[in-house]
Amino acid sequence: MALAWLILFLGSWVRLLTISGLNFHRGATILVLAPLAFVAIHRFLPGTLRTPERSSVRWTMAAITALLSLLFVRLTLLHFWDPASFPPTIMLVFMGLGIAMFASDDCPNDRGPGPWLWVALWMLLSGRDPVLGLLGAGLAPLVFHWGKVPTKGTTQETGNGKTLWVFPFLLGLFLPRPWWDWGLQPDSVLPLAAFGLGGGIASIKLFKEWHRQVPAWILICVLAVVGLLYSPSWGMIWGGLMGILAACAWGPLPKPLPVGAIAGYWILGLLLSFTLQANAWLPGLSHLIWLGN
Amino acid sequence: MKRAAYAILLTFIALLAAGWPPKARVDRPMIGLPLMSQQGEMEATLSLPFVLPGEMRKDLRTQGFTPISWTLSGLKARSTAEVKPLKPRDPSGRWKVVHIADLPPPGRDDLLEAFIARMSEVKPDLILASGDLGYGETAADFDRITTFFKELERQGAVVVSCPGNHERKAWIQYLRHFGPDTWHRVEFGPFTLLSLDSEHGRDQFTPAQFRWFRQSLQDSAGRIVLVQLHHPVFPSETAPSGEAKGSGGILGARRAEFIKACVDHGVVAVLAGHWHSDAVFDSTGRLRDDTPDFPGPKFIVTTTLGNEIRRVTRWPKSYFGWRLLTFEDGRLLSYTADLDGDGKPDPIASEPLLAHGGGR
Repeated sequence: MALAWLILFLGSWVRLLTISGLNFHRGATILVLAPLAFVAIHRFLPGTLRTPERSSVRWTMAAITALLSLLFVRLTLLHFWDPASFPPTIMLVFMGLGIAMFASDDCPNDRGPGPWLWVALWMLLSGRDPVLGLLGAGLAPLVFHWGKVPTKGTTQETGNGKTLWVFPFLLGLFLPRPWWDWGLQPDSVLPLAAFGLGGGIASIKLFKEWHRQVPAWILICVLAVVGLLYSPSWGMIWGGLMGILAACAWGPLPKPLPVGAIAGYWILGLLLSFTLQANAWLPGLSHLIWLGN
Repeated sequence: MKRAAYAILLTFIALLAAGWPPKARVDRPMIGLPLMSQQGEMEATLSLPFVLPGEMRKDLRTQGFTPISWTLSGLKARSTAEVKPLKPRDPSGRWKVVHIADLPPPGRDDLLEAFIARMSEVKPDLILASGDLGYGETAADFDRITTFFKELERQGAVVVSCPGNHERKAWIQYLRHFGPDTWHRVEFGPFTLLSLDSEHGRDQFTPAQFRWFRQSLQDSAGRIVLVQLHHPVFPSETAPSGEAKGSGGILGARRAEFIKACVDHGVVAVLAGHWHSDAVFDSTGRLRDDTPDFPGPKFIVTTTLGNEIRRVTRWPKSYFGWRLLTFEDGRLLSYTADLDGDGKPDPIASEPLLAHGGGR
């Protein structure tokens, strides 16, 4: 669920904002920054955004989140979402709130290849329109919380969990590169779909045991090198490799996941990534637009 | 397995609920991205994968289109209708291509009308519009520009456009009016027209776009290749690092590769705007105010059609203008105006829009 929140919701949300732009002169635009507030609440007030314990309430919340995402997509599909348009933006905000609440639950269904393959499927579908990534995020609570109760286990932290905080940042930094590169062309989503597939393969039990042996610093270095080497000529192989490395890093993260911190680093990486591609006229950065491509 | 089946079923139902009844967004042809020649392909994005709305299916059949590929994102269809070979509108057999950039802002419709009137006399075959199409940010501002382009097309010219930096200020409106293909290729008679998106702020091509550009050049052997983008390729002499008297940047990274590709593949002209001022460079980056006739690609910057006039290089003449390129037997005959009336084209100069120039 946390994966769907990060990649399908927050990732698609940042991508849509970079397409539509932000005009703070129009009130509704400010609302789209609400997901940032959810990230901050998760980070600084942990436990505030949690789903209630009663199963029926959780089901209702999941259904409402799915319904809102469906309505949002019906309104905006094929029409290029304008953040200044009030009704769909309100829907996006409430849907984001719902997903953010489910993201902090540690549900047994969140482990294994399922969430990765869900990301792959919806990334592939979002080639038609980036808003479809948000539909995948909105449906995720209905899928991953189906028949399973979130665990309230104590925090476990595996040996290299502490050093792996850099992973969400690096993912945020590198993973959107195909989006910036291809713009709205359908090919922009293929590396991200390959990412989900790679993550799914690396999450099956057979590989899980193997990659737990790999030291964290090696994963970090390899991820950074692969991320830098992005090229449209080998986008799908690149995405697959990134997915494998991300899944290797995901396993040893603390359980339950500190989603606030992970989302914070992920968003930070996304924003830096966009700054690097867009040339924000910051001194020195203009010469570093993805290292001259 | 049960959960996987449930997830797939839910996906299917959600897609159906989001996309039903099926609708389609035609991405090509669009205003500024026409469908030309027998090889022309229509492209549409569909609300439901692989499902074509009934009305569109009927339209396609009527117009002689046959679907050639289906993807998750949409449909490509090719026209099977017989298209007569294009001929120049001019009885002399010369092709006339007009280049404009940095169009008049809202409130200056008089300049658009003056241009339309002028084009009814010139009768160009093609009009290339290289970005900063209207400076407006509302749907009505973009409607104004599409109406202007439609009027030019009604007169018989074909308009091909690319985005500039000001389009980024109302990007959603741009996408809604001009479609998501921000870089594209159009085949028109003997011409291959490659329109690029040099993006605002970034001021350079993305790797995918540059790869597409090189591939397109390779596929255009034997044709007259014209390239348009909003940002000039070379710096002005007064601002070698890029900022040309407040007129913004030039093409950033990959400039050397871009120029080499143009030289290697015999590109005839690279047309840009952005400076609101005329300039012509050769492939070494030298401002050619000595002669209009030199070998290799011409890197041309055309002045504004009706916005603020600037002086960016040492070229002294500034006015609202447009540029006429004439071709005969696959050769570029002229691309500059004869301002002094001596019967020979001057270097650099574009055609003034108004008799008094409209500026200094």
